[in-house]
Amino acid sequence: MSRSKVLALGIAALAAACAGISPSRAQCRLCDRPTTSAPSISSDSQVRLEIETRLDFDRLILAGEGGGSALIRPDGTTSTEGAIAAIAGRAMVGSAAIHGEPGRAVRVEMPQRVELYSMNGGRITFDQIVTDLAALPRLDSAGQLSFRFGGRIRVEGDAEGDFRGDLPITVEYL
Amino acid sequence: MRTLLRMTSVAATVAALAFTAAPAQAATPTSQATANARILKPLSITWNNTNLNFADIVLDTNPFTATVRVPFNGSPIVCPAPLTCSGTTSVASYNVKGTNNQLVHVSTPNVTMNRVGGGGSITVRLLAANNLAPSGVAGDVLLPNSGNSGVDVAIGGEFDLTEATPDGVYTGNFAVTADYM
Repeated sequence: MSRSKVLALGIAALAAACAGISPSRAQCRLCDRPTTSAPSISSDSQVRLEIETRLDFDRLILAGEGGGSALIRPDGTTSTEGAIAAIAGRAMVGSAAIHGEPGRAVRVEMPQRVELYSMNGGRITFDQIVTDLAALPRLDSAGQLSFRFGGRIRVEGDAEGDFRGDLPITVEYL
Repeated sequence: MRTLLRMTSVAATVAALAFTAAPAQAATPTSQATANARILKPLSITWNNTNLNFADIVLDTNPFTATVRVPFNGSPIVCPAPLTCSGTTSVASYNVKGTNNQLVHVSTPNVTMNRVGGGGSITVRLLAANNLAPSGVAGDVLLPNSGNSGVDVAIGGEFDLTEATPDGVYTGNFAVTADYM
């Protein structure tokens, strides 16, 4: 008899303790109504990439036979090697702008190498593609981040003419 | 007691799922930047062994001012009165080689012809042809090919004469340069 009473008292005490827990306490997650649906993302918070200027080596004049290379760095400085005499003054570094949620960290992906092609089937290599982004880029308080990119063109043999290639860029939130 | 524990466990699990469900990562569709370059062969300009020759010009002793011109297009010499021109004139000619379909400018500075034996000089204004007719700046040439053929560029010229110009034979040398535009 007494054991049953003790047991009942124990249960009652526990129930009272549970009843005494207010659903409004901050640490009681289980008291809130759970949800499994992901919060909707407004169009304003989606990350967008805007290409501002294309990377343009302008004219590369060969000084003789053989190959060479021309480099445009993200800071706009240039250099040449081998048979390429000089880069024209109108050469332009590429630039782009990222728009999205203020303060969000982003990952920017670009290929290390692409091929540029001419109308008559010629091909040259564009590699050592680099940007001036920080190691962990983050959108500023206005939700924007601009960056510049450059790389190296390598010319072999008797390549000549106008060359063009696409440079895919992907940006996503971390 | 057992029932209470089970309910607690289920509620905690649901809460955990709700807590860890992160917003879907927003990703841009891959955007296409582009890279461009124009590769050009070395430009060369060589003389075709033809000189600019105004031939013979006879002055008048009366006061005058006249401009003599040898056109670069092969037309006869422009010889205004009271001058008298005779003999065979010719234009200078250079061959320019480079990359097909590129615009090149041939620069022709003024040249000074000095009288043989001294005592006088004449400034000749050189006029380089262009192949961008009907309009075009003198000396602007569109390369029609790549490699050894190149394109020949004719160079004429003009100068001013008066009755005070010393007679005699005048000669001079000039340099021509070509650059990709």
